[in-house]
Amino acid sequence: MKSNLIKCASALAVLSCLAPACSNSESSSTTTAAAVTTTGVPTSDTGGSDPSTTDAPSDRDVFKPITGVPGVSDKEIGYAVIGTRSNNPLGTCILDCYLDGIKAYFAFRNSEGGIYGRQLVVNQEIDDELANNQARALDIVSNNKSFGSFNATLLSSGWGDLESAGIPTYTWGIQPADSADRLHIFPSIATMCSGGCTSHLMPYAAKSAGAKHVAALGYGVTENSKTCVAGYKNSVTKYPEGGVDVAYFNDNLAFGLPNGIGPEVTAMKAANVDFIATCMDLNAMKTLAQELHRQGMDNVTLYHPNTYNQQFVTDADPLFEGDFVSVGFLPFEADTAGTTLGDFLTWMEKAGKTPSELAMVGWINASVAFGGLLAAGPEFDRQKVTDATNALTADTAGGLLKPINWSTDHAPYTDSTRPADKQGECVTLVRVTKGKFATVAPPATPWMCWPSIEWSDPEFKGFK
Amino acid sequence: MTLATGVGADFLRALLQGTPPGTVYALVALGFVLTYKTSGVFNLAFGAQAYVSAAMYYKAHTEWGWSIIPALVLSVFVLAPAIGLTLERLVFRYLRTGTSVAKLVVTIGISLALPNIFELITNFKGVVGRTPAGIVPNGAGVFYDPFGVYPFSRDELTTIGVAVFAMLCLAALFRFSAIGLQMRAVVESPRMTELNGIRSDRVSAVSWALSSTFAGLAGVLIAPRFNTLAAPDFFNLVVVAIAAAILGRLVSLPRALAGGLGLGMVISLLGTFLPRWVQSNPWLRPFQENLTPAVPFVVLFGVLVLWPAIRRSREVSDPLSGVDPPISSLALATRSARSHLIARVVTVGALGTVAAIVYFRADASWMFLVTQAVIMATIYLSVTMITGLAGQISLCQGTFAAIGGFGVYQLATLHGMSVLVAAPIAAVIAAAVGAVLSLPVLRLGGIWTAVATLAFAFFFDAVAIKFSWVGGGNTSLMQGTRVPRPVLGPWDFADDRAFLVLAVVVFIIVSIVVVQIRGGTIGRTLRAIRGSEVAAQSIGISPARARVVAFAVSAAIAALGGALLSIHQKNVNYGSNFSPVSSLFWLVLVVSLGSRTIEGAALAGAAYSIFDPLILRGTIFGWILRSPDRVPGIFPISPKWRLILFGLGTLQFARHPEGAVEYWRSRTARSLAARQRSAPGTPEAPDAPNESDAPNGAVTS
Amino acid sequence: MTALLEARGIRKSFAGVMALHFVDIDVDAGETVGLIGPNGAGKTTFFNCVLGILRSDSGVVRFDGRDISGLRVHERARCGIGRTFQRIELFAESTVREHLLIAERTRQGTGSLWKDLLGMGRPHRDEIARCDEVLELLGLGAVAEAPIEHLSLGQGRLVEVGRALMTDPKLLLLDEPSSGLDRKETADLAATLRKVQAEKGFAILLVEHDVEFVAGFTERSYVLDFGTMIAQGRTREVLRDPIVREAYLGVPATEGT
Repeated sequence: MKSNLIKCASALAVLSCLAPACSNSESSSTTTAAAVTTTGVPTSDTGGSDPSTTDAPSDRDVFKPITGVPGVSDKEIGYAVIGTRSNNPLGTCILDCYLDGIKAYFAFRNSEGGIYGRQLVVNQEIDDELANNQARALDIVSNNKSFGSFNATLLSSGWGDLESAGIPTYTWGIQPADSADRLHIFPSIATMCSGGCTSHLMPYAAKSAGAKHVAALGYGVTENSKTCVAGYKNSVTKYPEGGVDVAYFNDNLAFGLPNGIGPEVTAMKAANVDFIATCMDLNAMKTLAQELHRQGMDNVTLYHPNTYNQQFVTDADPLFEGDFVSVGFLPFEADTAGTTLGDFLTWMEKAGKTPSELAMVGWINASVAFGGLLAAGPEFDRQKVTDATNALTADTAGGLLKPINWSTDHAPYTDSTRPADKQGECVTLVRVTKGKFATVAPPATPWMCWPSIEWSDPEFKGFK
Repeated sequence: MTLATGVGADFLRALLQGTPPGTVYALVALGFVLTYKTSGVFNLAFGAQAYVSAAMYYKAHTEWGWSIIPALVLSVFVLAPAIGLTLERLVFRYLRTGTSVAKLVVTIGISLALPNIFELITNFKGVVGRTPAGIVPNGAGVFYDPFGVYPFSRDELTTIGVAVFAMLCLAALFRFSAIGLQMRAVVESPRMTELNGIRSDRVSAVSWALSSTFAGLAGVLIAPRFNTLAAPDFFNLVVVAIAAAILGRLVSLPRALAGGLGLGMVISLLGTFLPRWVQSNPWLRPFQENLTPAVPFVVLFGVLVLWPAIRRSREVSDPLSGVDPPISSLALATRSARSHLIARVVTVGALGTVAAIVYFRADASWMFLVTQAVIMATIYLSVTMITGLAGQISLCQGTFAAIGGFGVYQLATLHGMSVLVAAPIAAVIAAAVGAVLSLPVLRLGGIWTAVATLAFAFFFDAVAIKFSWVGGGNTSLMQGTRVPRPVLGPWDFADDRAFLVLAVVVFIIVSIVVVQIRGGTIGRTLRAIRGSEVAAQSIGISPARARVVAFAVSAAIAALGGALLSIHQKNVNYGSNFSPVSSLFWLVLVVSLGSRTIEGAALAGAAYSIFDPLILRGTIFGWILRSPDRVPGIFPISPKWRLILFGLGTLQFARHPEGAVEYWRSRTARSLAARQRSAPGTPEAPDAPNESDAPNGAVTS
Repeated sequence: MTALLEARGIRKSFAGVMALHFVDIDVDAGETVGLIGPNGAGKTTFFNCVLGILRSDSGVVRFDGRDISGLRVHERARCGIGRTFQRIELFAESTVREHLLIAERTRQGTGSLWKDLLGMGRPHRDEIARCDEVLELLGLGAVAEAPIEHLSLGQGRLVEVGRALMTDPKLLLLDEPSSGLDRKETADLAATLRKVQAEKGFAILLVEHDVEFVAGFTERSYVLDFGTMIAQGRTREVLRDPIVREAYLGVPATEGT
């Protein structure tokens, strides 16, 4: 009888659910999505300084007592760092390298006296063990000990909660979907184009390698990889000026290439491919290069998205000789003048750590965090820092990134909905030369920029 | 090398190109068959064993700079047999007459624990971006081109040679040597062998040493194929190699070898010719896109389902199917009414207190964990349904849960439906998928059902997620698979407290469903089938029909739970929630704790979500010592240790296959009973587990 | 009038070895028939062909005037063929009464998922009463609540009989019911079976080793040897047949009375 009662109750619940009273909670992402397009630049009562002159030292040493702001004491501003250490299927160094970069940046700024009379510190280091990002993010939300958070994680399930809690969060930007339309989240890669976006870069690289026939390869496991390969294809089609065609296309390889890549390489050989752009991890790139070597195709140039790792390239030498590697930030090989790259190398060395991609991501994230603090002024809180960062329209994280316009760069778009101010692009590219990375553009102006969507030769630029 | 052309040359080249990966599958398949033949264990830990030896070889040869021979001896001929003997002594000796599910679960536990134990002891970190060295000097650098169409490296030729040689040696061992015959005899009937004066303990120790050595050899030979050295890669290899092993019906070594090579070649042939056919026949394109990454799972599933010989040879090739020892009755059934009532009052009181504390005091983090525990418990009730009640092992519950999650994502986010309506619809969809899947899968029975469902899980993982009508396609790329929280009249479930209440209500409803089914016609029917399928048929029960219902209900429960989990996390989070490996993890967790009761599922949910922060991070000590700063320094226990503990937990299960909850309960029930009727002459209640010697009957007088 | 069970020309071979060679067997309603023969004679194979566990290579099985050769095991059971097992097959973790309950529920065919969910799947009072009636008849009333692990072998066999009875069988196939029982238990079982048969009026086809049991229990018998029917007729006469005695090498001649 008891069970019948409960059954009736549940039936009622289902019925009432069909009634219009039932809907989805308004606190979902749709409202924030609207906000991003309308808010744009928030009303700036927060310092009001010109974003391009973030290094104004006048305010930086001013100490104002602040109470009630989590993670901020009279001595310190504390940050939490979440990253993947355990169970990382790629086996790469993520959390620890990321922490190296953040700590190096904090040491660098603290040596200059910190900010607003306070030292920057990491007060929580958290391993999310791959799958527990959300639980760990909620730990940060509920213990509320940190002013902001840093995230370098393969699965970013907790970013929504950090966003709702209003915690300024700086992330390794490999998960654009999870930072899209989230105004408190500042990824290290602020390009929100998705779904087969075109770029000048790959055709340009192929052209400068003297290639004629391009192959595009990617895994069939994720939508991410598939659309990345589609992007290469679209780019080649869109820019016939590059002088290459797509001679081979394969976007359904098994993840990690457990079956090798022999038949595919044979097919590429038959198609006279001399340039291969991929959307694969570095281990698979090596498998590919080994198979090319076996089938006598050593002269093919590879275009790598994820291989900016000198140790790896050195170990595999000479498999990758002459290959292109896209970097996403100011390469270590560039001239350091006018940027914090020199500081990065110095402070990494002082800490006895090797510069790595993830360390650089940590450093960049920390730079953005610092820039936001600076812009928010000495009486800062979380919301002020978020707003002030979002008011920055040309944030280069100390000359390490192409200028980010945080007022618009949270919004995702596709190639067909590309906004007017996203028509051009700036990228960095290195090439393996005698076993070492070297910038393709001159080291003093390592960025290659295309001002518009049209094909042209890139302008070489440096950012401060 | 010039490129020879023509279909004939292409065909030959494809065969040759498929040989190196095929050899890898063949080695693992051989090892798999070897273990199965000599120990009757469907050894999912084979990959872990292979990994440990490969890692040891890497450590000795590459890191310590030992030369090849001593490194090989240490890793393959010392470490590997030692591991095999240890496993046999500590685990499998007790499992020789255990159920097939018990063995499977234990090997899953070992496959998680073993690599971590090794890495902790030797301080080994996975290798990335470097190609491990093979067992011949400069094996990766020297190529030979026997047919003039495709060169093989020295490593690859060595591996092929060793695989063929090992197959011949092992086949000879089984055919001609006494120990080989004894090993097979011990598997087929341990008791009979004992009666014939063969010491099955010794034979089984030899078996494990042998198969473990082979695993080690396979690991060392396989490692150079990849540019990483990590335990998960080896696990995935095992799943693929099962397809090859199945082709040999798990007993034939030559067929396993041929199956492995054939699999590699088929994949290579498809890779060579499918793209060409697609050019002339565009309708083939979907097959090319979706089949290519999933070939092994399609083969595995197809062979199991479509090859009738597998089913017919079930009794022969799976010597222990159908002779699973009977399960003991639930302690609940034998408990007195009074202790029942007391226990219930105490439980409800304790739960109420905890609920009140959580509801009024918990912060966002604890609220999340507790809610997650409740939802996971709901999902685990699907295991209670299919494994606890119907006695079938399903390794695709994560997939059903994912259907629930993607279902609400699709219906709510993309089609604007309320998630509260979407979740039941998703559950119905999953039930339909489950029902369709169950028709071919469940008549396989036992271990074969487990393998077929595993293949389905990997297939879904490799193929279905990509479809925009499942995983969201482009939309998910831009925004992720975000899912909203529901509003129902005055209640806004965006509030975590309200959502916890919703989760608890759903859990209670699903629990009632399970209890009602268990006590009703379906449950009784399933229990009858489980007790004796022939007897059930003899009174007119259709086992197929009952199992379809069970599987469909189980899928629906899993999907409902998965939907709820996605709503709770506001995102489907397929990767962290529902990957095929999570299904394995869930099964192990639930059956170790108790797959036959609501309490077992509830406890498993709590263990999944709360055990880690409460115990392993030492929070509870912080509460007891009244300060988080006084938590002893060993906390938080490292994640490696957690996986090890989890693995060791399954050893507990090996001894008490009824699950920890039932074991503890029947023990208390028995000691209570003993205290109450301490008068002499009362017949002792029979010892609960593993006591019956009659494999088919359950009558002990 | 046609017989209740008509097996015509049943032939079955395993890997070339002929197990049954054109065997014909009839069982009339309400009668008790024995099927005897030495080990390996094909009794169990024949049994399995009738029950649908094995498909015969050729031949027809008609039950109650209907061709059931194409039906599956549980479908044949629903036609009214009940059985017991040589090695007892009971449902683990069930009480004695639960064995009968599930058989009763299956016979009614009224169980459904929806009824379970609405809490209507639990045993009804009238079902329990019907089960208890049969349990009393079999003398199992005292152990109705007992888990089957606590039963003796003889009781276990009676539970099988009771379970089969709940399906209202027109024919009950008994597979070596005396195996594992001592003389007294066998006699008790025979007495109980006879009593129940008198009340319910079903036919019995008995496969049995124990010639004495068959002699005392059946009116008519068939004798199989190497898959071939070597004799049939009134049990006493059949057992006196010299061919039968020869087939039963292990059976002393004096026992055949």
